[in-house]
Order: sequence, then C-alpha cells, then structure tokens
Amino acid sequence: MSSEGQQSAEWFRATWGAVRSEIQKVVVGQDEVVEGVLVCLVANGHALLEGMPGLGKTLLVRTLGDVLDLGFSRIQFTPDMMPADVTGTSILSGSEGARTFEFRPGPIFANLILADEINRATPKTQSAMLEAMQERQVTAAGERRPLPEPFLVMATQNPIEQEGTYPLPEAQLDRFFYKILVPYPKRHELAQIVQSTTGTTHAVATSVATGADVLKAREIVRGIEIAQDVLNYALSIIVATHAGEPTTAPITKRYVRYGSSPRGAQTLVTAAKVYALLDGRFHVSRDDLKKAAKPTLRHRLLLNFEAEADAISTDHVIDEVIAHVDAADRDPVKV
Amino acid sequence: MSLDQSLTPYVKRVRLLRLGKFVAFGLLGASAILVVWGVSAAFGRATISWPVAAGVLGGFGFVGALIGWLLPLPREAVAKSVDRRADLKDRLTSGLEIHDTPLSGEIQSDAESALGDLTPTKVYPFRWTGIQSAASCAFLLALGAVPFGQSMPFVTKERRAEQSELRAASPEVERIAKELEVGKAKDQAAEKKLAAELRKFAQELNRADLNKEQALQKAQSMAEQAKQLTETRLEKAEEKMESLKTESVREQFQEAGGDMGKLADLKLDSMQMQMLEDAMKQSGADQMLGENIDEETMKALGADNTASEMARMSQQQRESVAQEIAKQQQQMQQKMSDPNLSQEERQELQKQMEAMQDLAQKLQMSEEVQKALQELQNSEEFQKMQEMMQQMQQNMEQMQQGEPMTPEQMEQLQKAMEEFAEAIKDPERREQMRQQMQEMLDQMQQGNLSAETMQQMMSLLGQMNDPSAKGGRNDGGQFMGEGENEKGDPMELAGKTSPTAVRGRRDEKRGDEVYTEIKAPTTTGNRTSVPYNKVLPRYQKTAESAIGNNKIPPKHRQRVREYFDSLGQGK
Repeated sequence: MSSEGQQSAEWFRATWGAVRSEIQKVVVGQDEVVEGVLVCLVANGHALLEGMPGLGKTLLVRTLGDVLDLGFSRIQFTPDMMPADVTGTSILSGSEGARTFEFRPGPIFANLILADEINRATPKTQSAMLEAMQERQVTAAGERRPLPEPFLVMATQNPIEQEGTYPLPEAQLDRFFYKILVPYPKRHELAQIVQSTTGTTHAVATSVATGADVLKAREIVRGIEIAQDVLNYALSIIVATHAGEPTTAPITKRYVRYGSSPRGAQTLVTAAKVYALLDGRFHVSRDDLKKAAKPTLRHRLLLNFEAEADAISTDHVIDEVIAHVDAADRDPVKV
Repeated sequence: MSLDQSLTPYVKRVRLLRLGKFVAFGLLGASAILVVWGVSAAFGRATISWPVAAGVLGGFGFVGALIGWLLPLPREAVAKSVDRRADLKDRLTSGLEIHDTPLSGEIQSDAESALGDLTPTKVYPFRWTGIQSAASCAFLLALGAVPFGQSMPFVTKERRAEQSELRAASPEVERIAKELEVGKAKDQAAEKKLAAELRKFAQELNRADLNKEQALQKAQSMAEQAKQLTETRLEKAEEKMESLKTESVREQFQEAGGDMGKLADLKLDSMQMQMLEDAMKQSGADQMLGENIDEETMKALGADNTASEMARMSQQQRESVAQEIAKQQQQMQQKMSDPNLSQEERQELQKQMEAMQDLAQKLQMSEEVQKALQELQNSEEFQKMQEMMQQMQQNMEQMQQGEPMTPEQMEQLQKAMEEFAEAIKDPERREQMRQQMQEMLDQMQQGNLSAETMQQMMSLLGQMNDPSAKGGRNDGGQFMGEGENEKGDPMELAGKTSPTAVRGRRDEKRGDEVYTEIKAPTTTGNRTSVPYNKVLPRYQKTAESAIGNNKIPPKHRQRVREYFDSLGQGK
C-alpha cells in the first residue's frame, strides 16, 4: 500500500520522465543540460547556460514551453537594449481627448524566458532583467506587475567573443540557481541532429504537463527531508570554499578569491532534494549534494589570478573541495 | 522491529571487531614490554618467568578487550558507518534522525527495507589488518624473549651465583613484611611504611638488580629502622599500659565497693604492696583487679599503710594476705641464714622482717576486731536497738515533712523501746556489751580499725548511752558530735550516700570568709527521702521566728539571715 508521499513521489517521477522524454524527442543529447534546466524549473530557480552558439539552447527552451504548455519568449540582448525593452513600456493610446497610458508588457512577461547572450546587454538592462528574475515582478510606470508562474529564465552567455560584452557581476551571477555548461554534442548525437533537422520530417514535442504540475512538483520537492548529519556535510562543502575558515580546503586557500554565498547553500540543498526525489528517496543524501555541487557552485566561486594562470577551473576546485570534505567526514566506526 | 532495534546486531558486530582490534593493541604493547624485559634479563638487569610473561600478555589483552567492548558506540555512528559501507545513501542516518514529519514513515520504512538486504557480517567482515599482523609478530617475539632472558647469556657466573643468593633471601624478607602487614601494628603508619619498604626490598632482591654489598647495607639500614621503631613502640606501650593499669585499678576499686573499695586509699610500702598483690592473686582478688595491678599502680595508692584498712578485707583475702606474709617471712628467714649475706643486706632484711612482723600483727588484730564486731552485731540487743533506731529515724523524717506521728506509730515506737530496755536490763549482759565496745575502741586507738567500723561503733556506743543521740562517746566518756573523731576534729563519714556539701562559717574567730565543707552526715548509708528545697522554707521560717523571739543574739541575726538566703539561692 503506497502512502500519499509515495504517490506524490511516483507522480513526480512519472511526470519528470514524460517531460524529459518529450524534450529528448526534439533535443538530441544534452542530457545533463536538460536535467539541469528541469531541476531549475522544479526548484523555482533560473539557469545560466554557457556554451557555444548553435548548441540548441533556444530549441531546448522552446521545446520545454511546448511540453509544459507554457508561454515562451526569447530576448536577444544587445548593448543598445534598454530595460523597457525587457520589462515593457507605457504608451499613449486612445483617441484625441481621451488618451491614456497603456502598458505594453515586455518579453519578460512569459513563463519561460530565453535571455540570449545576456552579457552583451549593458549593466542597466542586465540589472532590470535580474531584478525581475529575483522579485518575480516588474515595476513599470510606478506600478508593480507580477510575472506569471511558473517563471523560468534561461540566460546564455558566450564564453568567447568577450570583447564588447559586460560580464555579469558576482552579485547578479549569484541569482542564478544553476550554471549549466552546454557541451558540444557527441559524434553520434551530432549525426542524429543532422539527420533529424535536414530531412523532411521534424520531431514535434507534445504537451505532457502544465504549469500547475510544475507548481505541484515544487511543493513536493520542498517536502523532502534532510538529516542534520547530511546538512552538516552540505555546510562543510560551502564553508570549505571560504578562504578564511579553519576547515577550508587547501585548494581554496590557493585559488579562490571569494567563496559561495549563503544562497549557494540554499541552492545546494534544494537541488539535492530534487535529485533525491528523482532517485525515489524522501531524504537527501551526500550523493545528491555532490551531484548538485558543480552546477550550484561553479558560478559562485570567484577564482583568483593564480587559478587563471594555472588554468584551474571552478569545477576542479569544487572537486577538490568535495574530496577535502569527504576526507574529514570519515567512517565513524573504525574496525 | 524499529530501525533502532534493527541496528543492534550491527552494534554488537562492531563491538566484537573492535574488541579484537584492541586485544591486538594490548598484545602488541605487552609483547613490546616483554621483549625489553627479556633483553634486560639477558643482561642480568631483571628476571623474567613464564608466569609473569603470561600475566603481562593476558593482562594487556584483557584490558584491550575491555576497552574495545566498553568504548562508547553511538547508534548514529553505526548508522552512518553502515550507510557508507553498504552505500545506502544516508538512509539509516536519515531514518534514525528524522521523526515526526510527513515523510518520516516513508524514510524509516525505506531504511529498514534497505537494511533488510544486509547482514552484519557482510557490512563488517573480519579483516586481518596490519595491527593484527604486527601483534602476532610481536607476540612470537615476546615468547622468544622469555627463554632468552632466562638463559642470561650476557651475565657472568659470579654474578649469577650472587643473584641466586639474593633471590633466595627474597621470600624471607617478603614473609617479614607480610607479618608486619597482618600483625597488630598493621594500622600504624610507621609499621606500614616499614612493611612497604621491606616489600620493596624483597622485590629488589627477587629482581636481583643490586649487588650483595648493597643488599647487605640496605638490610642493615632497615634492621636499624625496625629496632628504633620497636624501641619507640615499646616505650609507648609501657606508658599506655601503665596509664591503663592505673585508671583501671582505680575504677575497679571504686566499683568494687565494700571492703576492697577502700584499698585505693591505702598507703602501702613496696614490700607490703608486693605481698598484697601476690595474696590477691591467690585469693582471686586479682580477677577483680584484672591483670593491670602492678607495683607502680600500687605505689600510686600510697606508701604509708595503716593496718586498720586491713580490717576491710574479706575473710578470704585476709587469709590470703596472712599466708603470703607467712611465706615471705619464711623466705626472709632462709635468706638470713645465708652466710654470704653482707652486713648491709642483713640489716635491710632485718628491717623487712620487722615490717613483715608488724604487718602480720596488725592483720591479726584487725581480725579480732572483726570478730568482736560480728559478735556484737549478732547479739539480740543490738538487733533490737537497730530496729528501734530505724523506726525512730522514719518517724523523724515523717515529722520533718510536716506529718505528725500517728498513734499506731507512737505505740510501735514505745513497744520497740520497751523491748530494747528489757533486752539490756540485765547488768551482766550490759557490762559484756560495754566491754566489747571498749575492746574495739582500744583497737581503734592503736589504728587497727577502719573508719567505717569505728563509725558504726561510735553510733552504737552513743545509742547505748543516749538512744536519741546520733553521736558517739569517746574513751573519756565525752560525747563526740557526728562527723568528729575522738580528738574533736572534723572527719569524713563513710556512708554510702553521696556527700552533700553545706557551706557556713566555722566559728566567729575565723571571720566571714572562712567556710568549712562538711560531708553528708549519714552513718546508716540511707539517702534522705526529703528534697532539700521542700524543707528549706520551713527551716527558714523557724529561724526567722527565733530571730523574732530574740532567741538569737543581735550580732548573729544578720549572719543567720544571710545563711538561709545563700541556701535559698542554691535551689
């Protein structure tokens, strides 16, 4: 006999699987990216995707909108883009003598947003975008306008062509739930992509879930428990990224200028809950935390010049930090 | 079964494995010690034996096992350990910790089902680790170290002989130490210390890690220490014994009462002392005194005896003393017949013989007094007189309490007086009684009568002359007051009641500040039944009445008032 909790978990996994399989009909490969985006969706966060152009980021977002039957909009950021171009603006409307300001919502008023090449926008525009991401509302013409739920922003930035761009500041990077690296597809995946996009038939994703299902999934995720010992492990990971702490990992002392913020800890645990649920558990384990650690922390650690000089990536630092924490978290029974 | 109970087999398994590990630690430590010990023994610096080696190994192993089993082992730690070892993704940790939440039931059932697929032996298999290997090697090495140490390959023959000699002496020293520890002096700090030193010395001898010369020096030093300690203890013991004897003798004399009770007041010279002591031992008096009587104690009693005190002895004691005196006299005569005796010794012996003769004579005389008094007391007249006196005393006490005599009592008293008069109306019988009294008085004058006997006789003589008087008549026909001897000096009456001290002015010549203490004037040994504070107001009233009637001279009136006032303050 399955309890309510188990039923919810089973529903969650079934929905997740259905959504994912529908997406994979259209988006070939990129499993980790798809999973990361879905985690952000059910964890009520936003994703920062970093990868070369043409890797299917827009396709992913559009497909996700189709599968979840949610509104989708894409914003291509350019240096001349203004905040009103994102949030919307008030225009005069009506006939002579009865003109009024009418608010025209910007592209941000959608459930799924693809903020393409966000680092090309000016800080002013970036700030308006990121404020909307955080507050989930827009203030225009002195009036606050809430954004629709569920609300997911997938911002992309190009790791190359940094000239003429405005890299996101650390405070704004911290507002992204995950930073997902979009890799090149593998050979067999590439062949499949070419086959499916150059022929006469195109794969079409159908809607298998709704925005309400997403909100329900979020509630289920928040109900997942975490034991104090496991939470301590998560905190140890976060603290080990802080250079000034006694339990700091040696690599942190050498290469990390700024460690993770408290929001990093929140994100780590929330993401781990999603992974626990996907694994059929109602409690978070260390493995879940380890799995969530890289996408959670890689945009929250600011490496120093030495790390750059030594070609040390944040993922490498995170691996070392986890190894350091694992070494301290030994088997308490030595026999 | 709850998750907590499901974890119990794992906890036991962990304890068992930890026990094995700590036993290995213990054996490793013990083996290391034994190896060092064996090497030391090989150089003659120590001795090693199989029992000792087994004890060390067993002891360390046991301690290791205890530590391994008893060390705290929280279930949370076991849960975490099983999670890690069986890759249960923190199921047990979460299941053990998370309670009372909507999903806690699912979490715990999930954990239990995960644990159901496991067994303790799977999770914690026995592994032969490095510590066990090291312990095994060390154990074998230690086993080899014992015969190696016993063979003493690096010790000379002379040294071996010396060591065996020293070891042979060890049990004897050990025995002495043990005796000292279990003996009467075991609680004494100095003896304890000496015993500990002896034991240490015995161990040193057993280890033979000192040479013969050192051992002898040490033994000599300890012997000197023991000698000093013995002397000190002996002195203290003697002092204590003397103190105990004196105290005990005094207490027992007082408790004994009767005739022997007054021995504490005797003043005996040393020879009489010895004699008396011997006689007492023979007569059984020593049982009363215990074994504590000694010369010093008897000396404390005094050095100037009066034979009158002998009258207080019982017949049996007197006989014993007489026998002893005779025996002493016989011995002295034998000594006198010794031709080798010097002139001084002969004179001294002569003196002692005279003293002995004097003592024998006094003893004989006191015996005669006792006989005379006994005859007197057994006579019909004396008994009637006593009855009459008792009745009169009762009537007096009754009247003092304010209760007049009843006609029946008056009649009884009159009858008793008539019977007494009838008993002594025979002049011959009266003369006979007087002669007996006179005889006792003569004895008393010679100092051969006890104070108590004398008191009885005084009372008797006084009553014979004047039955209403409580005093007695001295030899010159003068009446003596109660509490006076024949010379008129105050003396203590030897009644059995507790003396009551009354203070007052002795005479006018001595002034107001001089007071004389007078013992309780009782001769019968009966305690008065009238409380002091009940009769005082009546006496005081009588005194005031006498003052008011001018019966007391004016210059003495104030003193009388002060006297009664002082008595009133003492209520």
